[in-house]
Amino acid sequence: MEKAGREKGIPGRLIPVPQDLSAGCGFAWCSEPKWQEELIRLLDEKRIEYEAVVQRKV
Amino acid sequence: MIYFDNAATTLQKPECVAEAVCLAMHSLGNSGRGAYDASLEAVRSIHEVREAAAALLGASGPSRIAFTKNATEALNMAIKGLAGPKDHVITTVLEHNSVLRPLYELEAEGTRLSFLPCDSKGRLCLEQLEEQLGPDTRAVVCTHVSNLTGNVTDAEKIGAFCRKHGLLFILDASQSAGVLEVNMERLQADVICFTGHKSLFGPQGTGGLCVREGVEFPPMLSGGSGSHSYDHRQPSRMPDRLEAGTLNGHGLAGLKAGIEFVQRTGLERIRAREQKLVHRFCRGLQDIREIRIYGDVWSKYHTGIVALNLGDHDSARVSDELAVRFGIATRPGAHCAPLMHQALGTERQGAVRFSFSWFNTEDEIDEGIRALRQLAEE
Repeated sequence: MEKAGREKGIPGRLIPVPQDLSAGCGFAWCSEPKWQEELIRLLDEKRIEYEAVVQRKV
Repeated sequence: MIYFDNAATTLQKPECVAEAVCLAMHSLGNSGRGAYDASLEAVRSIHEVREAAAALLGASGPSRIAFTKNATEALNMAIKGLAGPKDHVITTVLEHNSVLRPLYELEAEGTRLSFLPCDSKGRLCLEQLEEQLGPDTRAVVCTHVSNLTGNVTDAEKIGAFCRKHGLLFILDASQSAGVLEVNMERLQADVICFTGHKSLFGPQGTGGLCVREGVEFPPMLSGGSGSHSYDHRQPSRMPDRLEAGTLNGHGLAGLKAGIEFVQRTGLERIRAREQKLVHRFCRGLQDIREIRIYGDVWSKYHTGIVALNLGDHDSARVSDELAVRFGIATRPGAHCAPLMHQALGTERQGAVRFSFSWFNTEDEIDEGIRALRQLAEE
């Protein structure tokens, strides 16, 4: 995701999965809401597996 | 020392491999266990190795590559995961014990095994494949290159046979990855098992499986995955499914450097170089009456291995003389390929295996010839 995002010029970074999204461990990609549609397109285009896309206040 | 045991492990590696391992040891945290720089660097590094291995093996994506500590572990996972007590598995007499022993364990639980024979030069009798097919046949497991003779198996033909009959095809690429084109699509293989420390020039303790999309089997190990911590079972998603516990991130960084070296150098050049060395070696031995060479060494379906015997002398004695008196490293005895020795009639004597790599020179080959000539004259 990091590599694909960089290639497309979508800013963001990997963060530990916040507790209210998933109790456990792992990574989430954190980006501003305005990139959501483009991010989903990118995930599908690059066939990057993901569990959910959510918006939350930081 | 002149090192001719590259089929066991390559000793001379490209400089970039050790440098990559050293850098990784100084900079990588544990992959997937945190989102701080050192951990993310490990994630990035391992992902890049996955990408490199996927490109090398023709996988549909990097997630289809799962890393193991060697090809043996990969083969155990694939064989035991894909065949059950009611299944029939076709294999060959060329196989290494890393294929045979898991299969024998399955056989003890009811799996039926068939062995494709070979001719006097150790070439597989592929025309007998159809005869071995049964209604219960589940898979074909075979090596791409014999670790004893260096003969290349026509994996494309076996892959086509498997596809035609709806069988799984598990390929042992221990001796071929880094020398031959090993492409999942072209060979129609379902699982390709590879090791990092031979012709891919990686460190020992690296290897893996390339698993076709849709082919699933249970993990041999369960444990930490860095995801889904509260699930009782190993995550079903690849590659986490097959990668319990901390990966050998440092070693894998070296494997990436090795794969990149192979890609930069070119498989064709590497193979041509090894064949040239084999031909020079065999030409130099042609007039030594006592030397008996096994395998189809003049064929283009052959890699950088020459197994031979000197008269009726114990191969262990010959190899020891080569090491002690001439500083030449070879492997004697049985080569973890018991059925191959049976087929060649070398069960008792074993064989002295010379295995060359990209880094061997013509001068070293000539030294090997001179040493064998001297031993033969004595």
